[in-house]
Amino acid sequence: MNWRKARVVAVFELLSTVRSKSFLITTFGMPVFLSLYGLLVAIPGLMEVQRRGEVRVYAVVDRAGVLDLAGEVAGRPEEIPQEIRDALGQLGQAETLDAALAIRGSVIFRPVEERDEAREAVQAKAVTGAYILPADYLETGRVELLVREDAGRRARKDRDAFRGLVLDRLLAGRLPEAEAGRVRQPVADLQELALAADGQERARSVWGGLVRILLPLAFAILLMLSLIMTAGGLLQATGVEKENRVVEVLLAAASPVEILAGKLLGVGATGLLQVVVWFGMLGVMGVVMAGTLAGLGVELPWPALAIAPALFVATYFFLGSLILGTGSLGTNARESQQLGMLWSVPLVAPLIFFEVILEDPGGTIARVLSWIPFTAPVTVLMRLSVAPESIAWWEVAGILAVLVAATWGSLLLAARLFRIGLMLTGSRPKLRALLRQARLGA
Amino acid sequence: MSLLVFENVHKSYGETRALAGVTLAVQPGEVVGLLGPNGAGKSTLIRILMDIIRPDAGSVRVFGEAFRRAHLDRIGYLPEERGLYLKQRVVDVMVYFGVLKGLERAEARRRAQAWLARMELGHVERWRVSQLSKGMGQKVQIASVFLPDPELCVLDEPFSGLDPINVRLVQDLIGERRRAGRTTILSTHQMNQVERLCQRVALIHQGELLVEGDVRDVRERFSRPEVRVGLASGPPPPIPGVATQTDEGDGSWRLLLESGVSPARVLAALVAAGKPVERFERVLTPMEDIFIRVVQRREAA
Repeated sequence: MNWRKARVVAVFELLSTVRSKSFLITTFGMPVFLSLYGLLVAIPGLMEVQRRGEVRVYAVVDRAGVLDLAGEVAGRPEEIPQEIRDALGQLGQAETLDAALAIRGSVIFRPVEERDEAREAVQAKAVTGAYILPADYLETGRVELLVREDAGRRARKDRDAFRGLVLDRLLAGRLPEAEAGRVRQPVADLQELALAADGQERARSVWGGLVRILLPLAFAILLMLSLIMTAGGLLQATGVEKENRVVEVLLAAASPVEILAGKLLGVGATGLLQVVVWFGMLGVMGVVMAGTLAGLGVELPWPALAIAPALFVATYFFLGSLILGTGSLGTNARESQQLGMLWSVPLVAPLIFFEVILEDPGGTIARVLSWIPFTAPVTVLMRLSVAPESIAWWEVAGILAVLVAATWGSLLLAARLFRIGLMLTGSRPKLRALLRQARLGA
Repeated sequence: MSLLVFENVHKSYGETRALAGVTLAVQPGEVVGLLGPNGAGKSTLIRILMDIIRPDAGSVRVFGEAFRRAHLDRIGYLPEERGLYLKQRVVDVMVYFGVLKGLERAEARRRAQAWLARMELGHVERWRVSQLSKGMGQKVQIASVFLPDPELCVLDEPFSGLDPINVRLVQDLIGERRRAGRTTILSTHQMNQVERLCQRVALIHQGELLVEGDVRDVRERFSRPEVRVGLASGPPPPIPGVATQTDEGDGSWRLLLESGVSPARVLAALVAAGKPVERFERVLTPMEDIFIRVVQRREAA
């Protein structure tokens, strides 16, 4: 293969795409679109903020006599697990949590003697609703909640507040305060420890675990996103040449492999450029938060992060060439897209086995999926991220070698399909004819 | 040594036979006309030379060696179905094709500008291709083919879509290339262009090479022994060896010679008879007639 020619094609494709209006609109318009989408999503939250401090009053008719309400009682604030409180505290967001809880409003329970009185209050909109504990409540656990017909469904937090009230009143005086606290919240503060090979115990933070799970997910999404974006560009680039009949001139100057590699590099670079621009914005946020992340005890999965770019590039070329090769067999742009994108489906297959791989990163399924080029990238990332010790370095090197070999093979196969596909102008060829042509090199 | 040799080349598309053992040699500096009806196998032969498709059997030798892709940098190609990148600037497309053929970018740009000027298209250098007329686009493509100064050029119907002035321009360019020792294969249906430009001709039909040779020799081979004579007055006198004479109505006469009688002998007889001869020429069958005759004969067989 003449890399000079591949480079010439790549530069041409890169400049053609980058100079187009659609590229500029997509690249810089997408963040704007996402911001607008974010605003749209935030509207319910903003409406919630406007209702800040709203007090909802519920009448309580206690025929069972278990609540012993002398007057109005405020509902207990929501229970937030200590580890979440700690984590937010480390982020300096403890006050935000209190503010958020305040925004969610408060609930007041007002004792009422009779059911009819409660009914009238509900009807008159003097209260949001009425809880009625029948005389046999202790035996049955049955409680009635009376609301107006036109009332919307009450939020879960209101019901939780009532449950908390009943729990507090049932426990009051029956158990010491500490034990009562454990009944309310059996595991208030979970300290997760990781036992290292050298026998040392180290605390595992909530955020650290989250990052280890999210990283392979983000990788898979990023890969899918860039493939979808660039595949469109790749298929369009070949479609235009097929349509304009430039392809014969092109094939007379460069081999299918050179054209294919050039297109993959050029169009791929534009796709990656977009991804870099978009994720660069997130990256800036990451740098800003780097100190905070360190403070949270987040240990980034460095082995996974180190190998991710190599996996990304190899997978991009592997799948990109297959997408381009099969896509070129399509007789129109839509068919090309459908044919080409079939290859991206196996990429996310490891996500189906997500739980299995998480539970047993060194198990048979994880190992087998690691050696299949389609599923290797996400599986290897998951294993390296969750449990680096589950995969040996020789295994990683071997898998990368298989991926590189598969990429070269797919490039050659795609070149043959590309050569056949670009010469087609009418109907799609039959599979048998296709195989014969591919064997003969068209 | 031949510049290009197709040796017993076969190619089929499924059940359809496109080429059935074509052997053809092209000499350096020649302009060779590649003729044949639609679907004869001309484009397949050209595409095999350009490595766009591969032959089922047979071989191609070019520049004295077995074909390699690297040879394509020395071969220019104008396909019949033409196209350019519509959204690109004219000069950028020409530079792209030039660089792909091995030129340095700066050199390709310099040559592109020179060729545009030569094609009287200097003013469209910065235009988008989509802004060009059909004829302009055609000239840009021809210029792109000539830009790397290829040793061998394959032009498939280069005159289609051109007005007479531009036809003459392209004819001149092909002539210049021939004088510079460059070789051209001209695939066309315009027989007058073949007679005017080509030294040799190859006629393909149903994947087989039916006729090949020097243009004049081929025309001779397919012609009857006839001469056309223009006389200042009256009909030609009876000349021994002339079987029939036909008045063509414009002062000229067509004389059919008997077997073994040379035109020179007839001319000498006319002069000896004291007839003032204004015009005397060998009547050769036009390539178009030969084409039709060969194809029809083949189909009848």
